[in-house]
Amino acid sequence: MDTVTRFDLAKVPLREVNTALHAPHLTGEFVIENPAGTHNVAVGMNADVKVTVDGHVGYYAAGMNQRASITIDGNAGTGVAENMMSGTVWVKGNASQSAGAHRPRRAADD
Amino acid sequence: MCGIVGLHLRTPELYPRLGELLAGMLCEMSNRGSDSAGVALYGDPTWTPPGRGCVSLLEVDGDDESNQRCSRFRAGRQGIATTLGATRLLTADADSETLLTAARAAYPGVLVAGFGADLAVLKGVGDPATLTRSWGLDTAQGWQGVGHTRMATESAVTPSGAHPYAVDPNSAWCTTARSPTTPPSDANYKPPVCDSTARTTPRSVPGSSRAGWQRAATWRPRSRNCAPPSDGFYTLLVSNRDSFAVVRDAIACKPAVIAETDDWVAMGSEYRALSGLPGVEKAAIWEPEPEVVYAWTR
Repeated sequence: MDTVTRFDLAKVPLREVNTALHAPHLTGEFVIENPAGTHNVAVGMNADVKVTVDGHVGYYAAGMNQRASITIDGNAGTGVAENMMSGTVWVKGNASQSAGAHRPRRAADD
Repeated sequence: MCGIVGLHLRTPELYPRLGELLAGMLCEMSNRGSDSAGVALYGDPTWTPPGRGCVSLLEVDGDDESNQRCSRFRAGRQGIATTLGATRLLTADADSETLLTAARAAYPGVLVAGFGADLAVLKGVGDPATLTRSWGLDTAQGWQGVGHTRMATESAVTPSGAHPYAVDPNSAWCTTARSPTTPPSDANYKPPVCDSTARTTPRSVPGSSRAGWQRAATWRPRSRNCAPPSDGFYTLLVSNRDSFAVVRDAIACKPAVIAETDDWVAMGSEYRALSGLPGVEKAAIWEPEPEVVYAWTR
């Protein structure tokens, strides 16, 4: 069984949490507590892991997600799950504006 | 961008904490713009003693004659003048309109930040943390307050450019808006959201009510005339001595979150402004719908 790693945003800076979630070869399950409406929570994930955010988040939560399963147990602000490439993002509360907004891939990008 | 906050206390046990809670909310919004800020506070017994007329002035620049006229008026009515940064707060044993007339006569050209019983409006240039500390907002009391932290986009960074604005006795008007929405400069302009004839069927929304503070109404305006005279985007927070209201334009791209408990009603540009309020974990929280007026009264 995967271990659950907990981050308390009331005690640990967001940058530190996001950096930990960007570690190479990331495995396991993660819970982020006390988000208190913070912006940019769990952005840029690229791993087959489960992340639960326990509370309301601000703007751009779970942005640019790849592969991760992210659950926000609360409301999200503007732009949740923007530019998602794969994985899932589940907002249990209200998802505000621009949820899942995405710039379509164009031939010129290749 | 700008940030706005409003807090309306239902339970008197929280009145002593109004200033502290409002300052925390405003400072949390400071990175939405922090060139200037303002607050309107209702019910602080030191700044605005009960039963006295109250006027908040900006750009008081009087000569000797002005100061003498002001002193003569104050002498007959137990007048007190308090300087809080850029704001001169006058109170006297007179109704607020009489005090306002006297202040305008003494200081022609003075800017009126607000006037009305129990109302103090403080504004200044600088970031909210510095300003609220200089005013001593943390120790202020009362039952209701609104605040605005500004990122100037269309006019000068001055105390008078900061919200809230006064549009009526006791009123305060805060917006997050972008050009061409501007607050009314005409002191006789009445915010249409206070016009009860404009309402249609009250709507049910999340939240609760309690004796003392009641949700006055939530309604969809019958016509767009109920909205402020603007073709811009805005979230508007209007308060007077006994009520406050929130309304967004039809697009509702200017952010707003409302939270309500048995102890208070609060509004902020973002949820994080509300996240430090006592009991917020049990609050009903929602984003106000476009062109729906949410109003409470006590």
